[in-house]
Amino acid sequence: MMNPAIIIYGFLLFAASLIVHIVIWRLRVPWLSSIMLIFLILGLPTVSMVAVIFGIGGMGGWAGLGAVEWMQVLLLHLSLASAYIVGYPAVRAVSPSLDILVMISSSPGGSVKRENLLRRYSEARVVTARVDDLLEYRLLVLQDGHFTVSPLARWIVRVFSLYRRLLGLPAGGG
Amino acid sequence: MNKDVSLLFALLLSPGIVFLIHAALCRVFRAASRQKVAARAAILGSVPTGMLLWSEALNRQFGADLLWAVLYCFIVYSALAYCYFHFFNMSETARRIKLLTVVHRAGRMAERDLESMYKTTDVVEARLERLVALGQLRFHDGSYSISGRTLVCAGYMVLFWRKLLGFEKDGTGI
Repeated sequence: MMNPAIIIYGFLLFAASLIVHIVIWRLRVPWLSSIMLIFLILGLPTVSMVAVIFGIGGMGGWAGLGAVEWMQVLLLHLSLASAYIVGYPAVRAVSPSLDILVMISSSPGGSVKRENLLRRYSEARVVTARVDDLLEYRLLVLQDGHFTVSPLARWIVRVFSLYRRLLGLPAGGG
Repeated sequence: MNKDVSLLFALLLSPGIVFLIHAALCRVFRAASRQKVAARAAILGSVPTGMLLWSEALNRQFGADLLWAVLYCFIVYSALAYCYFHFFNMSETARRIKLLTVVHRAGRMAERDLESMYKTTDVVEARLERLVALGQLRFHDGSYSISGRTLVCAGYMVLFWRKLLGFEKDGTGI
């Protein structure tokens, strides 16, 4: 039997995490904000739910739901939270694709000449801003004017490369 | 196995099902827009996932229980399929992944070499091509105009959310 409370609690948990996220970010965007976001809306709720599911501290069977039902609440929250997190990079640093679309949509006449578009972005730090991000997250290392990747970055590249090979596709264009 | 546990397992398997369908579609539709192929895989994945859910969990539920269970599965599957699509999109378009891949393959790269290899205009041109292929932009007489509303709406939502989180918009926001 699917208790509708599962859906309600799942959404409430996600909403509560989002509210805390918005409040903290409005006060001050944390350092390494992507990692802090993962901790806040994935890590903390998961730990709390595990405590409920395994009855730690006498919380078993809380609010009339059994352990498996709380797992369903957790899965609903994690799926919504993951969907938010994967979209977060486009919010943190506006994606050029979305920026282009908004700019054209709001321009007089609803169109922009190609050379104007390219000129606008030639002055923006489209690439160097991303390099700064990678340095901040210790995925790129800069030493003596040369870049190398960190061990974690090497692992990330291998995962994506394997994924693309399994799909039968070449590396992405970026 | 308890049907509630079966339901959880079937939903957790769904990204893997989408991946298998995506890998097949990539090999069949090589000339098509890669984002469109990924989106179709995410939608088509609902069929085998739905069949699995029905056979393992949903066929033993009736009336309101069945409706709540279907709603729960729809929400979780949609969120997970969305996450899959974004994971693929990261492999396809993310500047940071591209930068890490380029540096990893080179082993070691001078700052100026990275900047000359991965130019801002290349980034923008690639995005303009993709947006035209996706039917979101139209190129005519040297100018770009909007032809689809989906991503423009997403762009405005991202802008709204950036303001809600208190991010400062530094010109392009990039």
